[in-house]
Amino acid sequence: MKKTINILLILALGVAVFGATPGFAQPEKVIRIGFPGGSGRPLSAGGWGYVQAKNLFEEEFKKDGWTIEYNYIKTAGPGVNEGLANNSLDFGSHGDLPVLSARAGGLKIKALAAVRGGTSHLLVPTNSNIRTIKDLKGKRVGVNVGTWTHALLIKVLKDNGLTMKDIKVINTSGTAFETALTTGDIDAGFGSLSLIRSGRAREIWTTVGRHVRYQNTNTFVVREEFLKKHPDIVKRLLKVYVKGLYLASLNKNETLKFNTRTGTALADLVTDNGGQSIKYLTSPKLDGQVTQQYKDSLVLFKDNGLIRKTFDPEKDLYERKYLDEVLKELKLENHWPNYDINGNPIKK
Amino acid sequence: MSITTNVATFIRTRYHGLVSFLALFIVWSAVSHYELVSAEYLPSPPAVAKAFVKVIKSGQLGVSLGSSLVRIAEGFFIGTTLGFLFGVAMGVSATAERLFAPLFNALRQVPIIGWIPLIIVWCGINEPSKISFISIGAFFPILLSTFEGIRSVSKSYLEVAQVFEYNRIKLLRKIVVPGAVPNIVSGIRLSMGTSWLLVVWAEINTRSAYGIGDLLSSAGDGKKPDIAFVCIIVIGIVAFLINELFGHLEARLSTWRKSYR
Amino acid sequence: MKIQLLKNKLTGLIIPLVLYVAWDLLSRYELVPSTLMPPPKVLFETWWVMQSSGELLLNMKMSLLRVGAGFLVGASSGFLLGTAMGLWKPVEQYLNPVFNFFRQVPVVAWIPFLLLWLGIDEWFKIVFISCGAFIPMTLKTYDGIKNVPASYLEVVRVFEYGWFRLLRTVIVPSALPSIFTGLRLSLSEAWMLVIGAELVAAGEGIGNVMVIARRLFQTDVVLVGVIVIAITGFAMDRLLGLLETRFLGWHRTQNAQ
Repeated sequence: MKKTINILLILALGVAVFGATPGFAQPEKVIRIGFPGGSGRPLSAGGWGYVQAKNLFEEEFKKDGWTIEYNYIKTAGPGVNEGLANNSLDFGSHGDLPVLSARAGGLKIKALAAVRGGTSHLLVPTNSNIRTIKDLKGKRVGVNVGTWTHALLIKVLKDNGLTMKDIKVINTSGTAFETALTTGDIDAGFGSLSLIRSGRAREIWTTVGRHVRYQNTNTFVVREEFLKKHPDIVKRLLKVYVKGLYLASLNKNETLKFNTRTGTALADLVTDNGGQSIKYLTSPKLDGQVTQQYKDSLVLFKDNGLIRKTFDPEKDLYERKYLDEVLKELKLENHWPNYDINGNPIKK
Repeated sequence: MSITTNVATFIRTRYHGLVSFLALFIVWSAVSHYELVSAEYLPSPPAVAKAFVKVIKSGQLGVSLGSSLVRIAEGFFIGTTLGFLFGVAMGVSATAERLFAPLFNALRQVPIIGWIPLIIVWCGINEPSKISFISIGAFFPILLSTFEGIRSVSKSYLEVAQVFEYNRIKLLRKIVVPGAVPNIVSGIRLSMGTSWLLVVWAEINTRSAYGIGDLLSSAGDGKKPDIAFVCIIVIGIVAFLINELFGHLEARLSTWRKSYR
Repeated sequence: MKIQLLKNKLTGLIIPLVLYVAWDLLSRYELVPSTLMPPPKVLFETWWVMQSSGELLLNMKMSLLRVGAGFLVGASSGFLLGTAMGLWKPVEQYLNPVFNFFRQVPVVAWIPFLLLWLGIDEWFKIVFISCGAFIPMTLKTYDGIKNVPASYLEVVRVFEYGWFRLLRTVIVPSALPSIFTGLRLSLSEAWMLVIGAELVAAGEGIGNVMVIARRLFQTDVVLVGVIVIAITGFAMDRLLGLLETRFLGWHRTQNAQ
């Protein structure tokens, strides 16, 4: 008798513990999309801004009761990964380092489309005597670890014969980064034009006007499990998204206007675009520009210990089937050209 | 006793302490008044008072404190319930003790803050991660004290129970758990105190919109030392109140147990 | 008897063993995503890579140095304040209320101020750890001295001991167990706070390794970090425990008599 009670008691406790662990259940009929939301504004940049502002997803899915949930994750790309991993997000649109490190870490995601043209500026305090990248040696650099600017810093340092070991990395982001830079607690870091405009920082390097390999190439990814369960929903979502990008590419001014809602001034947006065509910036194609850049990035990340093992993105990451079908159905196969590694359209 | 005599005794008995606090206050005022340390680093007493009024009036403080307390309540509830259950099981059953003690002893070695990065990976940075973190912190003190409390129930009670032929449930309800109550309450006090500082840790590491830790760290980021100071004072007062409240309860329960004996 | 003891020990291994096997199976067959809970084998491999590349040692060294410095400063000043308050009435009267007041504020709350005053470098971490180590040490030293039995002191008065002799032969020995408790509490607090400090402000150190690994989606590294800090904390506590039994062996036997 005593034994039985003991065993029952222990079983009950076991149930209590495992019952209490957060369930990984998928809520019904909600599509949850995560974006890196450094500024915490409720709108994304580029073509996404157009899709969000026009409520395209909401309209499409209203009729069959699906709701759309946009999440702006303060911890940026790595936070989007965590959301995808613990099943609180279904889709994400985030940078090269977070996407590649997630896939290398075994996160089951598929890339549906590319999101191009992310820019950044390497800033120092206005009174700093740092003039060039080489001056960064031994300095304290604010890095939003795990985001695309982290990868960018590695690239830029490498061009100048430096590595991350030559600088002091301070993991910081958002307003903490901005204050630390203006008070001189850190000597440099990647940030936005608004800091320069408000006279709080000076630029020593920028992605604007440089080779596209320095720009951020996001990918629009979906959790594999969600894709398997709702391929039809994924395709419909992608179709609306591509339609939105098409409309955005025809209405440059309107798109820019929507993008100011991220909190970035119109003039800054224009500067950041650096004269790149709206067509380039809205192209969803997983073309040579994306794949070659990702291939190079994987090597770079492996060499710098950002990923521990590498993988073949053609096999394990890209899922072109849906995008191809959608482009065909919308008769937009030729609206966007394929771009090469240098960002130039490939002539047929 | 009238209020004036009350105040008089208070001053007489606390005379030295009051002098020290007064001295500290004067030094603080003087340092900030003569700007020996710039206001950016050390806010002046009036600035802190003003910030206090400001965050109360804007409702910022109330909402922050409220959100943190809700988090504590949830995490504390989960942690203490599980801790209590396991504590009772391990206290009454030697088999359960032998089964679980090594596991919990191993898990207890992780410095509680060390769980933060792992919990963020597991649960993200929203409410579930904060609540899990607080639950872990609240779990161990209550587990240990319940276990010790039950083990300290004297043999003679158990013998009496045997004479009266109590069954297991009745034994647990009438003798074992009541006997362990003072220990359990001191465990609750520890858990509660831990929860309070863990909510601040959790909020500093995983920012959310509201919470006393969020208010504190955003004040730090925004270089608003006056608001940070207000937060420190509030955090201290709440910690003090938790300690006093449960200490009081503990004292009452232990006198109750003495008279009960 | 011996067999019973062995049996007891073995039962304790059941749950960890079951959990281990369950963990291994669950992660191997992807019932729990290996991104959240990498299988044990992966953890061993990761640990080995971190160990052999020297990454782990370098970062542990940094964290331990910080703990060492913070603990040394915090515990020794705590010992001094505790002793002073325990021995001299005026110090106790004037300082104890202030100490009790500041003790209520969890050290974590001081982070923004310490960052503001000291920046994000070493000074911040060491001062932060010292503050944490200071509090339990002061409390326990003070308690220990206050609880020296009055009868001892009376005996001493009869023999007209000098101050120093009183301290050496009566007060310190009888307060020593409490002082040791203070040392252990403040060391474990210091170890916890170094992780906390490294989570908040970067630089090398095991806490920082965990933050960066988390951001780069390397759950295995985070888990290895958790295990390593647990073992280190345990080892440090054991070490102090050993010291305690060496110093206080006589105390125990005395109590047993």
